[in-house]
Parts: sequence; structure tokens; C-alpha cells
Amino acid sequence: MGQLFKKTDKDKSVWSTGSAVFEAICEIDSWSVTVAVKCRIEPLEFSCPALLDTGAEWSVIGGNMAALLENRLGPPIRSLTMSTRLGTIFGELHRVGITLLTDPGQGDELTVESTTFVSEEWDGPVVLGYRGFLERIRFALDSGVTPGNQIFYFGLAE
Amino acid sequence: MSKLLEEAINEIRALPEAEQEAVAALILKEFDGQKQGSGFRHLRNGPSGMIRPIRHPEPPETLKHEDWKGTPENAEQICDYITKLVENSYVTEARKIVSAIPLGVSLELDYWKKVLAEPVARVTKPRTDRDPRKDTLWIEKNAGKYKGKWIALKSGDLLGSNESLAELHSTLKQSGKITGAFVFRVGS
Repeated sequence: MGQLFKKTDKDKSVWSTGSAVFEAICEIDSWSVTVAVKCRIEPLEFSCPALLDTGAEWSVIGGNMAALLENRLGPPIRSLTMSTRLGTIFGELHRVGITLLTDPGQGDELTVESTTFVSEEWDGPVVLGYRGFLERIRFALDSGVTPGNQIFYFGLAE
Repeated sequence: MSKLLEEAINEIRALPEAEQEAVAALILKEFDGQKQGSGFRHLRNGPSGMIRPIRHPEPPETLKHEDWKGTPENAEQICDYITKLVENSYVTEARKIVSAIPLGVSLELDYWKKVLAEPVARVTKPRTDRDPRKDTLWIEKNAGKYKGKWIALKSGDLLGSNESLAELHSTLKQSGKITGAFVFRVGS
């Protein structure tokens, strides 16, 4: 299992708890996605690809996935707007458990009780954004040299 | 000069010099997009975001001198302000306000307390009955035959396909195959 270390003046310690191959410059649905990782959105039982986007303020679940979650997230309390490259969309913030998946033998998964913007108006892929998700984990991308060698490492930010 | 334009210019003049330049550059960029027929584009904070000038929303007049003690009477005003803060990327400030308000003041304040709480991460054991590398190989070989469809894979086996995610989900759930599947829509 590949692991990453954090070195201080006194010692070094492993910080990554899991890793998985990520897809670079790929297609999800009809969208071109720069970095795609695999995740599972609770309470859905299956996993799906997601755009890892450090430039997005919030994680976003839209379209068909949002429709599947509609009755499982509790009633919408307050709609708010989000400006995206596809235009302004309405949606609600919800607390959603999102799990980053590992490849076999590559450590443990990481589940984040995250704040996520859920909007059926969003046609793009599932997005893992900074606020409410990436801000509380430690992660690194090894872009590799050949396809299949791009590794996404992640662990708890303590 | 129109009143609106004059107000906009005065607002920009009131900004620090470095911000004035950034705002002017963005306005020119957006204006250029509009001239080319693409319509006015909003400065965006969603996927995929970009650095944008932000403006702090004004707190409601009646709450300006209070220390944000939530009461059933002012709960709606606080929630309106929290919404504006969140929409304008002042999430840390919104978090600070709602975290100081006790639970039970209003349903909506409880909602904001919940959704603006810091995310919590935990390590969990992986499922062992799947091999995503086999899914990747399947996709490389076969995805082209399923353009526009949602497909479900598990360790390189196709569990099902459908034009509707809801129908695929329902079918797989009924047959007990949904757990651990990898589901996505093939581009058309």
C-alpha cells in the first residue's frame, strides 16, 4: 500500500490513510472532467465518479442523483443561489455523508459528513468542492507518468 | 451618465486600489463576453469557480447593534442575513453567528447550525467485494455501446443499463445488486 509521510524537525509520520487511481482529463456523462475520483454518497448504496474541484466553493450534487436523494435528505428549508459556469442555479445546502473510495489493498476509505449544495438544476457531474468537504481532509494528487498511475491520496486533517 | 452607472463607479472608487484593478479587469472581461453574444456571465463561486470580487452584505438595520442573540422574533432576519453571507462566500462569518445561537430558537436557525457546522471526517473500512480496475477495463472496451445510458458495473461485470437512473436504481435494488455497484452515465 502506497503511503505519504509528513516530516517535521523531529520525526515523520504517515498521513494518508487510503489511495485510489484517479482519472485525468476524462468524460463523465457529456462533461469533460479534469480530475475524477470515485465516491459514494450516503444514503445511496452505489458509488459514482465525481469531479475533484478545489476551485468550487461547495460540493454539488445535481440532476438525476439529486432526484434520487430528494426524499432522503429531509425537507428543503431555504433555497439559495449559486453562480456556476453553466449559469445561476437554485438549490439547498444539506448535510451529506460522502465517502472517498480506495482501490483494493490501498488502505481505508474516508467518509466526510459534508455540507453539500443539492440542486436538480445542476446538470454537471457530482462535484467535490473545498468548503464543507476538502477543507477538513488532507489530500495529494500524484499525476503519475502513464495512464493508470495517477494516484489520489487522502487522509484525515488533524 | 445614468444614475446606476454613476453609483457603480463610485462603489468601485471606494475600493482599495488593488481591488479596483481586479474589478475593472473582470468587468471588461464580462463585457467582452456580452459583446460577443454569449450573454452576461455571473462572477461565479460554483464549479468550476474562479477568484471573484466579493462584497460584504449589509446586516439588517435592526440587528446592527445586537450581538446576534437569536430570538424567535429576529430569527427570520438572521436567517435572511445568513443566506446572503453564504451566497457571498462569507461562510466563516455565517458559521460564527449561528454557532453562538443555541438550538431550538427556530427551525430554520437549527437548519443553518446543522449545515454550516464544520465537516467531520472519519476513516472507514472499504468494501472488499469489488475491483474498480476491472470496471475501468470494461469501460475502455464497452462504454461506446451504451452512449446516453446509465450503467452499473461491479468488478468488470455489467449489472444493468437504462436511460433512466431512477429505473436502473429501482431494478438493481429489487434484485439485490445495487450495493457496491459503480454507476455513471456514458456520454452521448
